[in-house]
Amino acid sequence: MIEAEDLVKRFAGVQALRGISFRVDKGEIVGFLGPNGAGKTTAMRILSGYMPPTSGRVTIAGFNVFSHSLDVRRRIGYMPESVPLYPELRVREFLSYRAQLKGVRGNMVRQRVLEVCQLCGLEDVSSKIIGTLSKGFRQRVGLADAMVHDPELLILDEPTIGLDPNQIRHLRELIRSLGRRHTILLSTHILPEVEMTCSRVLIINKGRIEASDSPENLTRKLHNGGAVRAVVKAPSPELSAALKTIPHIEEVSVKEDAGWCVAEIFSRRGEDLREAIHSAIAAKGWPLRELTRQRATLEDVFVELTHEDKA
Amino acid sequence: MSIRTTAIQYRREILSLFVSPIAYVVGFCFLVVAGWAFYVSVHVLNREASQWTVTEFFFNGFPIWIAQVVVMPVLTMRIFSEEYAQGTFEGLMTAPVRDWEIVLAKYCATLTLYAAIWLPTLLFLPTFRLISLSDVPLTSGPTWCSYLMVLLMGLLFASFGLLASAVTRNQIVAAILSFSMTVLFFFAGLFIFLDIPGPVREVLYYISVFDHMERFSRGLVTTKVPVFYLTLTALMLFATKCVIESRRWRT
Repeated sequence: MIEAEDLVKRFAGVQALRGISFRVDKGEIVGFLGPNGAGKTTAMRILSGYMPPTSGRVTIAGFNVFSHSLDVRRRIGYMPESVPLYPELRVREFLSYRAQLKGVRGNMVRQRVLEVCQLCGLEDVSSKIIGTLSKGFRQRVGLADAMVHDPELLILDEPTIGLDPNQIRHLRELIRSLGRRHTILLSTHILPEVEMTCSRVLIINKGRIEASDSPENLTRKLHNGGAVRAVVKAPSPELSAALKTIPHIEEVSVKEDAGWCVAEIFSRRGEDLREAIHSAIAAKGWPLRELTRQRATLEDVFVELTHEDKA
Repeated sequence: MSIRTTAIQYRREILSLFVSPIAYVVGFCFLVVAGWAFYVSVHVLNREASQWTVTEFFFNGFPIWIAQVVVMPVLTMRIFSEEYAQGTFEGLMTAPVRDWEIVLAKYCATLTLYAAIWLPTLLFLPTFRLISLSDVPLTSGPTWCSYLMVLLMGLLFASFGLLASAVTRNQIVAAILSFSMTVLFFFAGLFIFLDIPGPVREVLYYISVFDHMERFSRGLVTTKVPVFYLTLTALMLFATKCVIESRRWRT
């Protein structure tokens, strides 16, 4: 659906994108993550045809974004971060204007406006003037605008900003249900959302792509991704020594807590050593109260990849 | 270029123009000035005999010029600047619309508003005849010619305004720019009253709005005047389209 090759964007003196390449296949929901100023919005603006890259090439649905701009723009629904709306229009007026502008014709206009109003929970405010709406509702009008012509690809720049937790949950469900028929590229700072909704994550930092994989793979590959916590009744030096004999274990730290030892065991990336740990402890006859594998979150991945002091 | 898309965009522009208070304030002030100018024309002609007709007096009077110079910049200042400032320009540029369609839709909407503001002045002469109970025939030819000139001026000044609004996100700056362009154009025409010799004078005559209006209000219509206005307008609109296009590269 999207093929970006070596995108570079330079603004006066600043290099916002330093040659990023990625693919998004049809039907994927891809999360675009990165700290503020990483180049997410720039990349999305290039994809939407709002501005050209300094160099590089993008095709969407087989059309070059710049030489066949209109063909591309017909196929995408783009929701910019600032959610631009005309405050003097009513919600319904605005949506039917946008629908017509994006090529929806005749009776379909009313039908589509009705549908997106229902999908985005705008039925009650559809005859209100946009200028009088709250931030959350405006955000939904922006989303409805992006979807109104039933585009193949939705590009959503920070769609959850300004929404309350209920609205975020509603939006998550909406995006998931849209993902069945549409390809979606969205950027957000709410990482649990991405873990729950996206099939793949692109992490961008300082104009470069740092990682591109499914949330599960990313967290598995993380350094402490496979840390195991064991709570054992045993003398701590012996426990530590016993655990270190297990192959593939890199580091063990043991703390005593009310007569029990809490061991944090770090293995090589992605390996699950719970069985071996259990056998080692059982062979010594020590009572074992807890054995859990700690899951790294996407937040850990994000911090590791984008933190200033990263190795 | 698609007429359908232009029409959709035009409708949106009209809707926004007519819900904004600017249209009504400008319209009201303009009609007060124009009404007063018409009253003064009649009043002066009542006092002494003149070679001038009411139409000539009205359309060549000072108040009407002032109104012309001020009205267009105010009507056009928001047309692109507001879209830039609100961010709606991004939504417009990522919708399947060509740059020409946007420029033309906005231009036509501005002209519609301009025409709406001038429309009530069509009642001035019939009302005058009704009140004065005069049986002197008022020739309608020069009046229509004067309105043609008003339209030509509108075409050109609206394109100045559009261009000015396209270059900045600040409405005040846009208004000052288009006001300056309009005034410069006017003053260039004023130099015909000075003693300038030779070819310069001829050029100035050619572009002088005052001279054009004076002749049109007498019913002296030549094709070279409309051609001049239409060419310059087309040039301005083309420049506007280029500015819009270039914003993609600059943002």
